[in-house]
Amino acid sequence: MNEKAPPTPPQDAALDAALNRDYEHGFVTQIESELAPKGLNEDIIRLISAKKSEPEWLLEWRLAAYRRWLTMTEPRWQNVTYPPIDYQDAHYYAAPKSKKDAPKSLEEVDPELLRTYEKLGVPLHERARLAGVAVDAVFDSVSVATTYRKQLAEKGIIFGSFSEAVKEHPELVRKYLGSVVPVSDNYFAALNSAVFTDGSFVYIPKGVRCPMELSTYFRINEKNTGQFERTLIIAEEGSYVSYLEGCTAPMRDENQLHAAVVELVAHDDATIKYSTVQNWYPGDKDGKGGIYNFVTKRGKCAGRRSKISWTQVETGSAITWKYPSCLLVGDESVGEFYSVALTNHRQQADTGTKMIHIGKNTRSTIVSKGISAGHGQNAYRGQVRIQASAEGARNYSQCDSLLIGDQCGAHTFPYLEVHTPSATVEHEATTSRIGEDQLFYCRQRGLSTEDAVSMIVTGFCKQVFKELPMEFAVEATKLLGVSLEGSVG
Amino acid sequence: MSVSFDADRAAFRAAAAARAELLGLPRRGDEAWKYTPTAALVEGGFAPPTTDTPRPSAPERHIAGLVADRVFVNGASVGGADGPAVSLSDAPAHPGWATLGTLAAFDHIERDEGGGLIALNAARATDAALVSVPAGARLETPVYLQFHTSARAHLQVSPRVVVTVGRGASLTLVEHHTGAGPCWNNAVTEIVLEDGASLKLVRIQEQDAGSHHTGATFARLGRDATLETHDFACGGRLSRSDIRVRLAGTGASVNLRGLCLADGERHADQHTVVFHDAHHTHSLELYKGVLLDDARGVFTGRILVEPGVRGCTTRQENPNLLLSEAARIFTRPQLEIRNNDVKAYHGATVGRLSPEALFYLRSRGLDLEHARRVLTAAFAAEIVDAVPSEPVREHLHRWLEHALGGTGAGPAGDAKR
Repeated sequence: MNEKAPPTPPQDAALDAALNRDYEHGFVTQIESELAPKGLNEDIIRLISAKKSEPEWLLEWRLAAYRRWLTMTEPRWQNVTYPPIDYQDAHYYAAPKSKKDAPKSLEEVDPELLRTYEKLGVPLHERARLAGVAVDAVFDSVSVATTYRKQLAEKGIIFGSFSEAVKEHPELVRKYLGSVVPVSDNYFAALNSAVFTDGSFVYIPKGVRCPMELSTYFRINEKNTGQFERTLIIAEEGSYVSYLEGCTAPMRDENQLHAAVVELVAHDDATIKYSTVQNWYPGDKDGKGGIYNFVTKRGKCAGRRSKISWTQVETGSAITWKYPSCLLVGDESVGEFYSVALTNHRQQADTGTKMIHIGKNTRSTIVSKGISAGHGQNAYRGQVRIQASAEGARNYSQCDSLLIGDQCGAHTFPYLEVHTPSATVEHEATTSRIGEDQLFYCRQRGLSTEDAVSMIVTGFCKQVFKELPMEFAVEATKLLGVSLEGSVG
Repeated sequence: MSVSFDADRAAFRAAAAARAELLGLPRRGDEAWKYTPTAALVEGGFAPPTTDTPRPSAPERHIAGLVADRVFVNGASVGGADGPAVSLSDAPAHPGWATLGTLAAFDHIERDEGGGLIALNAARATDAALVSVPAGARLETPVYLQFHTSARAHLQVSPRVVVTVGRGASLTLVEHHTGAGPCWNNAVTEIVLEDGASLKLVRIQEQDAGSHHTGATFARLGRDATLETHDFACGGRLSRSDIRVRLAGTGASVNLRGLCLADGERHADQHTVVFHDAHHTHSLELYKGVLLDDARGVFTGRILVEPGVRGCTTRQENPNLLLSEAARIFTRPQLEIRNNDVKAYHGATVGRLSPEALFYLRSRGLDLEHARRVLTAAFAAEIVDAVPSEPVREHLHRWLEHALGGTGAGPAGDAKR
């Protein structure tokens, strides 16, 4: 570099304090738990399967996935760096002790657990009723409470833990498990297929509109446990469901691996709306600790006029590596992806989507907003592929990045692959910082710098936030506020 | 007359050959070559020219109205003369020698970035064109270099160009690649622009549909230097053009423009990388693609802004027209920004001709085919019209007319339509 960089404007002490705020949800619930020995081998997989009293076919499926995983190599193409993961140095099964005499009602649930949820603000118990949200709370790897099951059951909706679904609806699970994300899809999907412990299962019968938002709070609690969730949502013809997934994790010094798999299947005229607020522990400001969030999420618009909409707000995790995708198989099906990804301190995110257009007149929209602060590295990576069969397909992608500080990074890696002339594909991206002029304008109107930044960032993300269900929109705005207030001095 | 790598270059060439051997050609798994298979180059059985290789005295096709400063046929210089201010010289003291191999440093370029191809060129290039403009000189007439390959056997030639433009000097350079028969042109161009220097580079790759082309251009810009590139992928069965620009001096700016028009079974890949290494550097980029028949088009535009580099702006656009059922387009506009004092924009579109515009022209009495041609030509003309030399513009317009005319002949005169 030839020139000396102009000095960075000094930051307010108050702003520094806001930026360096500790992780709010960093507490550890003291509960005795049952751990499988460290390491990964066929015996561990058999143990997991036995613990969950799984049928033979599922064990075979897991073992096949494990054997496949052994032949695969960890992907390295993503724009993130982390020390090698020792897959043998983790517990692949952890269950709260109270699992054996499973709680029949909320009263039976370990009060320590309930307090944890209370601290997190999970609308369980009375609050669940008030909030109108059914919660399938996953505490480490086993579902401990499910509310509103009965109300949903009256409409024929199945909403519960994955393990229960395996017992009660094996035919559905067997039909759809791995149908969207095959075990061999990628390294982490294969790992998940081998060792997944629990997750959520949703089935919406034909023509039913799910009367409430379905919600799951994930929480990693046991020290050194990898969390391998498996979620499967099936929406039959003409049905509708909105599913909320939110996460907070307690503070840890050791990195934790989270490799979930989410599969969605939408049949004719069905709509699935999947919203995520992800706030896993991001590590401290020097990049120590934090969750590795390597997730495979994919939805299949199998039927005509089906629709899958992904909305995500990613503020947590040391490393986020996920691409919620849509396979637009049915004619006139619609895929949507709305994302806000925030990286602060040493966080890294490589996130985006894949829109694979297969059916005729399929449409997809991608709106991605990346915010980088501190030393955060934020990458949008998205593939739009229009197959030759997808006549008249349309895609619109917009990915904007906002940079706060001169040490952070914003990267955009779109891949547009068009195989049919009748398709229309548009991609646009911008990268900029919060303008001095914008800040100046707000401040001369009497706003503090902090409020001005918060306002501008909220405005920047508005397009995505308006896609979130009400409850989440509030939480998302709050999360952004906590992470970003006063990042500009 | 001809410029040869002499004995003290033997070590350089041996090292390059070893590197080429080590790296091999880029593979499908290499990110920068994701969409461009190199199998045709590997399996083609291409060999460098020998003393027995016939060397026709002059190529049939050239740009009318321009006098070639230097013509290379099958890798060897066969004509042209040194100009008053531009020297195409074989003198070892020529400034170009010092530059050769410094930007396209084969030992620093990895396989996934095409390092094998760069090393192969360094190992095999025989005659290099050295273009040097002394400080302060402003050349009005473009320097025109033509590289022609004509082969009945499977010939692989390695054109090499080194351009140095001194402080405050300016130059327009036309690099014209033509070729017929089963050959593979693997070109490397190195460009050094001193402070305040200015270069307009027009790169026309007009080989016929039976030949292959891989070309890499490396440029480094000093303070307030400006570079304009016009990259035309008009021909070749497999064609790949890499342009890598380092904005090393404060205030340097680059304007990259390109057009890919591919028909038949051609595969055209245009790849650009811009490094914003200094404050207040600016880049502007417009690449257009028109894909016909069974052609494949690939565009990658990477823009990198390093940490601590302030006041950069960058804008990149890549509109594409897909005009046939079997044609394919792959585009990757990539921004990698590591600092906040930046304004960056990129946009890419893929589509067909606007039905409204077609309808309008038809309502004015044009038949559908004609209306399509008019609109496609207008789409491509935006790139052609910005070319800084009248004879070159006319040449390109004639080619465009030919390529879109549906006369049964492609851009290179014999491409399958």
